[in-house]
Amino acid sequence: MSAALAGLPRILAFQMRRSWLRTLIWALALPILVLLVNAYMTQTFPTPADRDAYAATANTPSLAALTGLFSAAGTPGGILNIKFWMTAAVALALVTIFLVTRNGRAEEETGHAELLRQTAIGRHTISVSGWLLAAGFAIVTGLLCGVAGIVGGLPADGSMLMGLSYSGAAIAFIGIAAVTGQLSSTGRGANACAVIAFAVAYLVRAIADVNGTGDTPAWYTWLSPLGWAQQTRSYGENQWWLLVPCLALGIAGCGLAVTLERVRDLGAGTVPARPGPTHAAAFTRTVLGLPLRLQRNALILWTIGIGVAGAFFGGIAVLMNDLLAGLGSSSPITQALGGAGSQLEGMLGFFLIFLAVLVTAFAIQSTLALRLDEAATGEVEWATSVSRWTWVGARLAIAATASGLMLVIGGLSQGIVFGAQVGGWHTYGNRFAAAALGYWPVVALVIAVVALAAALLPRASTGIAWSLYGIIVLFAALGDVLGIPHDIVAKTPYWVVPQPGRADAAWWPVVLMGAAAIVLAALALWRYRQRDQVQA
Amino acid sequence: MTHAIEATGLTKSFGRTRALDGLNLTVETGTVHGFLGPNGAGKSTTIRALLGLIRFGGKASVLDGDPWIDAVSLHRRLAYVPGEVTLWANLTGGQAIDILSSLRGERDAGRIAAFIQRFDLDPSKKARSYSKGNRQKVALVAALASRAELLILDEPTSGLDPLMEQVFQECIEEVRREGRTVLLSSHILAEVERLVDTVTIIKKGRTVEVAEVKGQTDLEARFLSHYSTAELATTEVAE
Repeated sequence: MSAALAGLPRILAFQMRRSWLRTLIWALALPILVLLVNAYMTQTFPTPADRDAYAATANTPSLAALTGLFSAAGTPGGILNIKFWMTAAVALALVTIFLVTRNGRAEEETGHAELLRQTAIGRHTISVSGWLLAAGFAIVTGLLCGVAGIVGGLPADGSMLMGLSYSGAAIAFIGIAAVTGQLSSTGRGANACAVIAFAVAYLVRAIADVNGTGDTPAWYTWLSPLGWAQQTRSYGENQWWLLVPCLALGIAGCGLAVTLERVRDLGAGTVPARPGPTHAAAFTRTVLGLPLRLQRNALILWTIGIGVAGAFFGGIAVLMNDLLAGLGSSSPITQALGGAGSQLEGMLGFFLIFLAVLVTAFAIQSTLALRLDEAATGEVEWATSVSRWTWVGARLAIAATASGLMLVIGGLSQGIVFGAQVGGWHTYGNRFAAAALGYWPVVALVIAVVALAAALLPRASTGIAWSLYGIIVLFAALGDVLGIPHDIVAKTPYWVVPQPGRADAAWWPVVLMGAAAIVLAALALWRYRQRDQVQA
Repeated sequence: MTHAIEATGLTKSFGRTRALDGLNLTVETGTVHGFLGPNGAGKSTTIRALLGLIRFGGKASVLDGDPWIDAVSLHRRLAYVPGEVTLWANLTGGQAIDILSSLRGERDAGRIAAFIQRFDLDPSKKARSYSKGNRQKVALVAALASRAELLILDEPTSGLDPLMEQVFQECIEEVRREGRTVLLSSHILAEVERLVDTVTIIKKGRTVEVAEVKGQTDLEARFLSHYSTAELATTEVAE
């Protein structure tokens, strides 16, 4: 082994030790989701006629942009691709990008790499080991997804190609992340650049799919690595050779990264860090302004994201409704939406729940600033004349207020886009903005629970909060898809909120949840005033 | 108020570890008081208790107030430099100084600019790209630029170069002349000898000596006498 790669097996074992849990979770979660989604789609669209009808909806601009155009759309495998391919490929590619940065530039930024580099390991060992680990993870996950497809009764060659096309997309972005890890001097910067490159690839692919003819996207999809992986056309023409350019981009990127690493200093980026302002704005210097400034980018991005999601839901509601009407009342979706005045309204109500679940993710992230800020700068902040109540209160106020605003914005954009199609965008906009706000007490309850966790068990609170979110997603958003009986799903907090068109709705559970949120938040505040400051 | 800090019988346990075990500390107003002890003796824990960051047993008064109950009003009158300075990674040093000063309730832009210049700090760099010494400077500038009656400094010069160490000592001399009080925890005995009037030496969460220092130069011998010999003695007994 050359000197530049000395110690590779040892470092690889070390990195695996540091990342095994997060890689294992994803390597199992994606194949399990393939199984579940496949089972659900097979059950919902049993006949070729059903599948053709579904494929026709998928070939409309907003769905083509989101999930892509797929060949063999009338087969069970094609349906699985329409429903899940883009989700899986995007998830695997992003997780892989973060994995590359975590074992590469982030280690250099924290100084861990410096500690390791003084030992007998080569100049490129840490980087190359990180890329190999990421590539191995992508391939194993892809293969398992392929096996899941075969277990689900789909053709073997198509299934393996589907799985490996996820791996192919991820490997292409290992090449990109390897380069951004050399360019930026921080882990955040490296991730941000790679994710931007990914977003551009996604956008190019989306525009090409929208402007496609039949199930063939416009030519410029070939400019996007996601386009290559997607055009493997698994379950259809099975174009295996398209995995080659994916692999080639991965290898070329890593090769360029090695060259860059050879000419730069340890810890330095290729792009120098820019100087920032020498003074803080008057607003940033206040108790409320500081956390707002720290969360500024997250707030902006989430608000835009929720607005776009609402518009998307409003856009596809009519199409989905037409599709379901064609399936008759026996479809599980129709049953899940039972109780609404009409199927269309039930659908819109379901989208509102989805929006609320999305907003909840933001709310949890924002509330967890309590823990992150306390661990990082709590010591210096609490040693100034800021009371702990004010300090905690400011963060709770941001999470609660921003969640409320996002609910209104999401509901409003869903209503306006829907109303624009059926007439009366003004009425529908108002109506759905108000209906979305009905979920505010539920989101506030989640905020209060997370705050209480941060108050009582600060070090465990991040884990508790995201586990809670997993449960919420399981019941509120995916409950029916995953086969949980609807009677149980209907009794969960997100489903008891009155929706437009539901006659049997009662408001008292919502009021109760709001009251519980206030009590729990008060408890959290009380505990914050009692306990020691807990460092990282 | 003759005592800026008066603590008697401080106790604090973390699980089974007894961090503070009846510690006493008295700092007279207008003096510079050294706070010595080996790693893990309880210096930072004492300081965090005096700042009301953690609960504790025993009696303590800081500037005639209760450090836990009156934390907010006391913190307007004191400034703190932690031993390990963590800043907001994506804000600059200049922003951090402004924020800390404003949150304490007084921000004097003129004084801040003067101290930034004295410590030769680049305030336009993001905190994450500062070295340990530069992060220390950020916290020092924020504390020294305040007009706080009491400065609590936990190993403030670790990571500073000899030139900056000199500047720091000048600043502490000025603070003394202005009649303000300093609690200085440090491992650098020469620095303590030069700067402090009185010193408290602690060991395993207890006070083992309180002494006048100004003008004397036998601090190192006295400091070591509490540890190495005692340590040797216990080893001998154990054997």
